[in-house]
Amino acid sequence: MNFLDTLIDRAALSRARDLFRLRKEAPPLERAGTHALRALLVLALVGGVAVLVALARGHHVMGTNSEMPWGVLIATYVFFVAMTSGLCLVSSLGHVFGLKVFEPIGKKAIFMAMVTLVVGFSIIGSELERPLALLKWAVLSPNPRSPIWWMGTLYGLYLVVLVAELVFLLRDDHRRAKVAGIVGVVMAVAAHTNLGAVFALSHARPFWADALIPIYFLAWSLVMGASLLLMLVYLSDAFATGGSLKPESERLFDALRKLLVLFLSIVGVLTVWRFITNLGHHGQAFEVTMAYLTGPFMVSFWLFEVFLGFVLPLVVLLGSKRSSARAVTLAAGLPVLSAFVMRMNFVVAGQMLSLKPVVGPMGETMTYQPPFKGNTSGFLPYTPSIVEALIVLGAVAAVVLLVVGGLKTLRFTKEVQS
Amino acid sequence: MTTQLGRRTFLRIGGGTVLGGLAISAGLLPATRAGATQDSGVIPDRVVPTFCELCFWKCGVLASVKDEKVVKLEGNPKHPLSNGKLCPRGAGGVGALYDPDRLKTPLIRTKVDGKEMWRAASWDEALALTAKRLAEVKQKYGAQSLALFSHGQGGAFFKTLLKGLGGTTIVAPSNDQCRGPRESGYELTFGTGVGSVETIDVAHSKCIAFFGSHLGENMHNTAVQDVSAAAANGATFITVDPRFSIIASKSKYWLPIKPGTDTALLLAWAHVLIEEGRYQKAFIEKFATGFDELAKHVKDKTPEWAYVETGIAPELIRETARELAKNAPAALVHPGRHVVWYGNDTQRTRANAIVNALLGNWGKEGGFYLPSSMSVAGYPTPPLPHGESYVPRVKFPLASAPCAYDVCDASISEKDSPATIRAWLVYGCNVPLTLPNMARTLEALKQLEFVVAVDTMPAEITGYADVVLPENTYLERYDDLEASPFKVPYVALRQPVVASLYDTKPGWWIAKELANRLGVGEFFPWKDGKDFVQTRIEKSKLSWAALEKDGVIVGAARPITTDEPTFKTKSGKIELFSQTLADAGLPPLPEYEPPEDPPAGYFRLLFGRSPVHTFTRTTNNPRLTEVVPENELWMHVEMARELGLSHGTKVMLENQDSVKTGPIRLKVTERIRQDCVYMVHGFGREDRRLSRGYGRGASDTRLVTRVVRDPVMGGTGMNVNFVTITRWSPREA
Amino acid sequence: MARYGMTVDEKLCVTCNACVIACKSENNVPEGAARCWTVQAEKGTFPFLSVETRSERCNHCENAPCVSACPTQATHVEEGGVVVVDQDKCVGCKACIVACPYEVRYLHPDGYVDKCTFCLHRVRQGKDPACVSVCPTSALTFGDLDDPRAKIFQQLQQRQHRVAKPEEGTRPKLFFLK
Ligand SMILES: Nc1nc2c(c(=O)[nH]1)N[C@H]1C(S)=C(S)[C@@H](COP(=O)(O)OP(=O)(O)OC[C@H]3O[C@@H](n4cnc5c(=O)[nH]c(N)nc54)[C@H](O)[C@@H]3O)O[C@H]1N2
Ligand SMILES: Nc1nc2c(c(=O)[nH]1)N[C@H]1C(S)=C(S)[C@@H](COP(=O)(O)OP(=O)(O)OC[C@H]3O[C@@H](n4cnc5c(=O)[nH]c(N)nc54)[C@H](O)[C@@H]3O)O[C@H]1N2
Ligand code: SF4
Ligand code: SF4
Ligand code: SF4
Ligand code: SF4
Ligand code: SF4
Ligand SMILES: [Mo]
Repeated sequence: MNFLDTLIDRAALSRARDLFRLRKEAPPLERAGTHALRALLVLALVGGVAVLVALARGHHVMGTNSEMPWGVLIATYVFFVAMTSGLCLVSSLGHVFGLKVFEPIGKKAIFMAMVTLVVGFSIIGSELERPLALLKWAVLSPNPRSPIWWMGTLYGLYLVVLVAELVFLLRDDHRRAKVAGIVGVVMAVAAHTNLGAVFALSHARPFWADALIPIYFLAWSLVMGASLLLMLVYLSDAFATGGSLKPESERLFDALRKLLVLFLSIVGVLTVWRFITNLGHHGQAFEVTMAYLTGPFMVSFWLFEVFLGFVLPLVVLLGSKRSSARAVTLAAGLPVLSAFVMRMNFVVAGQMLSLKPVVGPMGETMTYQPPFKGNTSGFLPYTPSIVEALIVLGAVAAVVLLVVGGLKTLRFTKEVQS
Repeated sequence: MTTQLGRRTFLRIGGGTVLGGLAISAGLLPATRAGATQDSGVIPDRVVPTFCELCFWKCGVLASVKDEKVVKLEGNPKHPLSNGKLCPRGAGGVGALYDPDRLKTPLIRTKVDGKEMWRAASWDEALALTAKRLAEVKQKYGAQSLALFSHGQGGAFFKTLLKGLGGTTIVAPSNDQCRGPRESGYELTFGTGVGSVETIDVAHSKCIAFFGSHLGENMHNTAVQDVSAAAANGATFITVDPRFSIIASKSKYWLPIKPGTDTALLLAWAHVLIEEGRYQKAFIEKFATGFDELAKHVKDKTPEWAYVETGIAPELIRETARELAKNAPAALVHPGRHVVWYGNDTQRTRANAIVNALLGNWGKEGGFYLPSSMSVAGYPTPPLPHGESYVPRVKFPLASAPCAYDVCDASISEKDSPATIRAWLVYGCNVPLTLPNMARTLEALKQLEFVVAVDTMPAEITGYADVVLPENTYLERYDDLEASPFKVPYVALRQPVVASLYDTKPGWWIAKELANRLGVGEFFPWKDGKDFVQTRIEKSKLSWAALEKDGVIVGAARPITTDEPTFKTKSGKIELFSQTLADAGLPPLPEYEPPEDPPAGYFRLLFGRSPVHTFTRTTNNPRLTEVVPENELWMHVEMARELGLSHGTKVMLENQDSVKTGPIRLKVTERIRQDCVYMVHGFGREDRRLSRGYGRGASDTRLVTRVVRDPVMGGTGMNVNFVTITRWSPREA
Repeated sequence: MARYGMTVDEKLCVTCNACVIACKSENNVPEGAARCWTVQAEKGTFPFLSVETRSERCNHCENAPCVSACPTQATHVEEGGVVVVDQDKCVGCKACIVACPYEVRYLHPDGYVDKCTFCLHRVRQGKDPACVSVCPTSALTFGDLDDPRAKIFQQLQQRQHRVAKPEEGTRPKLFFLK
């Protein structure tokens, strides 16, 4: 059997379009799934168009501007690559660190990591004014002092490693897979903490310039890795069994639940200290933190980041001796949603205070000519443009589709091979 | 804001072909990516020297041209008014050339089934019609029934035209809406006016007092350069202004005077200088008459007396007077420029002149200098006829020139007193937004039998004209030579930088063509604008080549100071006491008249300049509106709090005659007295074709429905209007 | 090797914006963007008031965060320590805009980041930057900070001055004379 066939089940591939075919007699859960997939397909296609528009028109179709240069696309990119690292790290517990429980999901996890990274790349690609130029100049005219350069380089290499790792895993080449896995773990940590540094090194933006950020990012990625895998385990069982967890998955499911609790707690502690230290600071970091606690971000912070993203999940996960697998899965899903909100807020909050304030350091009334957008009020506004919004939705849809598609067509298990 | 009009309804001009507009506005767009990878600026194909027309100062500019497009304007280092520098308006002059809203073709007002509208016309037709109508009016009512409003360099040609026709009624808003009272005040005192460029040696003065004169906002290039030089030399500034202007912020003393009480302060200064014997005795004895009368007159004008009127503490009045005296004769009370404030303006400038006399600064370094101007030969033309001039309804004994305001008045027929003016030629003058009492201006425009406007923009005046003749902008034309009196004699050339963008013509051509059609062509014997100036330069034994190349020829400097000044007054001396005024039945020594206070709930409306704009002529300029898109209404913090209004709120203004205007954004600030509000003149444009200016900010002119005439020369005091301020609601039209 | 810098004399500047407008023509700055701008800072209460007046632009920092932030070295240091953007190498990641503590950079409609260049193209021809040469109050002085004969050198010797946000540690080369 040739190389590709060791990876992909051609038969399944040719049946791929069945995913979108509605079978009258199919069980309700599957029919619902089909409907969902169809919807996602549409979203993904629309998103694809949006990406093309973005590539063609650049910042002309973005909600960002010279005073708020980074927007939802950056947030979404960070969101997806956080998944990549998280999936990679959590799953490595199995095929790298040899914890048997986790082995079954290794391959799928790495595959998902790859998907999220590729989608992440396409988003940052559409955010850049000239993505191809970056490929060119990052090589011809590198700037090792630039976190963005490291970001590109590390994630670039990381993708290569992931692909290799997946190939070895699919071909059950465990020796090589392990080596690739180790490298992968290192890259996962390096790439994502560096991404944290992209913000942490922005001295001009005190809310970001915080040594905790890289670790904070890492912790968050672990949360997402655990939640996503937990959901994966449950959902892939559920679709097969029509709603319930397979007995053989229970240990894994429970382990992931425990991990998630642990990671959430770590993120919780980090968040608390980030905010406390910020409140200790003067100036921007303080003001922005207050914007979280009592200002414009109040609702999304307390509701999404704290309650839905943290409190509620913890309650369910801890009390889950009694709570059903479905409830646990839902609870595990919440932090993922919260992670998106968190990144959105984080990116905007870092830039929301105009560097050309209407009230000067000594309380002067400042007047600027020509007038700048940001001078009217303390906080700069940002609303994503339609194009930006569509790209984000399309990206989410694409991830789900690719994952489902991959799960159906890649040779994850021996059975398929024989 | 709707304009009620009878016969001549207000027409908005469809400014030429849209495509043309686009093509030009494209000119303002940035160069495309396919350029140098590193910003290398623009390397011009040629650089053409000419002079600016964004205001009436006329600085020399160097225009860089790339691919037949003017890419930048810089100050001409050789020109004594620029010294290589420009004010923001001059630097943004390109915007006047490439404004897509420009007039692009002659227009004729026509009636299509009862509805009045514009019709684009050929020059031939437009000129023929204009000539025909002017001839008719002249034939019917005589040459005196023709009036010319003229402001700007090209006006010279239309003055010749009107005089050629036997007319004499030539007016400019720079007289009775601007500096007329100052010129009278100084002529009465020193025998000569201050002129434009003001003949004051600010750069070398050690102490200068500014009354209003908000230099730094008022951006007359050389004037600002001089103030800056003085500041750099450590001169002491005293700024008398109800508003903390920019120059106030540069001053050692800011006297936040109660508006309209300046004469009291000036008289108190005279009192201190005399009582404390700090005036230049020798100078006064030698060169002035009427000192004893003056001394008597100001005996009781103590700082304590002035304090009650002006709100300026007596000690501060004494201290500032001493500061001036200490630095005399290199000390100066700035004569001001836009002085038509309260009607008693000639008398106020007389008081201003008297204090200067006491400082003995006439002909002194750091005081008033003796200007000289380049003598340039005229073009040989037959002598112009002199019709006896028209008789205004209201007469002013000492007016040296007819008042624009009275021409308006004379154009309106009242029962048992028919209009004496029947047709207007308007050159470079946006009469409706320039003259006070707009309703009256519109009434005149309504009654006039013929109005022709020569302009570059669809300015409000053009909306009321019968024929609109579009002139080339200053960057597209030859013009009359410029040789104002200054520290050094000079003559400057305006020459085309690029060819006309549209079907527009230079003023000289328009006037010459009209003259030919009106049978007075003999007064325009020259071939064209170039011949007109070149011949005169050559007759003056000056090098045309040099002028073309450098844009200016500077003559040998002559002494600008003297210890033996002479005065062109009747007495040949400085007339502290003015017999001339006495003979005319007017106060021979400046009397202080307290201003009427605003009624409860009203603010006095004050206005001034934005450094980036010139009246209405720039408030549609793409380059300039980008920096200052609209005007704001200044109001003191306390007052805003009382009215529950906050910074940036849009408000409506309503004056004592219940004329409403706005909306305008509020600037809530500590920088102004509580009894007045302030805005920049020139905004609140009313012609829809002005895509950037229309409806932006508010028009002070709308609110100046009341004027107090200057009994000496007829100036229209405009700071006598009161307004209430209310929050604007989008429901208001 | 020269070390170019600029002073803004707050005593003389009247915030007239001539510099802003001249710069826009000189450097073809697109509508809606500006490489320099003016600031009025009002302090005090009537009648005890002060207004600081100045014109601001890129500080051409000696320790420029925008330079370190740029992944492609599009933002780099040119002769005389002038910080400029190479339009070709700029990929539009905006990291430099985020990194600059002074918000002096803008995204050019053509998709690259742009800013004040100290008019290097003029300086190379021995001219002053456009804003300096237009300034009617001569409030701006450009020159070599290391050349004792330069006016700017003497100004900094003799006059009180400050830079923007010294706490950022960027070592600006735009100085404000008190
Ligand atoms: N940028 C720019 N510069 C210009 C012009 C322009 O359009 N734009 N126009 C030019 C022309 S033609 C002229 S005439 C001049 C006009 O400029 P100026 O001669 O300076 O005119 P003013 O009316 O003296 O200046 C207005 C100032 O007077 C103050 N003021 C108002 N009422 C009183 C009062 O009762 N007493 C005192 N002491 N001060 C008062 C106002 O607060 C304001 O600060 O500007 C010239 N320069
Ligand atoms: N309310 C109020 N009224 C005022 C003043 C004020 O402060 N407030 N200021 C007063 C003073 S000081 C003065 S000097 C006057 C100034 O009064 P104006 O001289 O009327 O000033 P602008 O409003 O600039 O009008 C100039 C007109 O000339 C046109 N124009 C510009 N360039 C050219 C050109 O090259 N050729 C031709 N043919 N036309 C051209 C413009 O489009 C505009 O219509 O206003 C006076 N009136
Ligand atoms: S002062 Fe300014 S606008 Fe007036 S002529 Fe000079 S440069 Fe032009
Ligand atoms: S041109 Fe000169 S005076 Fe005017 S704002 Fe710029 S620096 Fe200040
Ligand atoms: S001011 Fe901003 S853009 Fe200019 S060098 Fe400093 S950091 Fe870079
Ligand atoms: S936007 Fe351009 S100049 Fe700025 S950091 Fe990115 S590549 Fe460099
Ligand atoms: S130096 Fe040149 S680029 Fe920089 S602000 Fe001045 S004119 Fe503009
Ligand atoms: Mo004027």
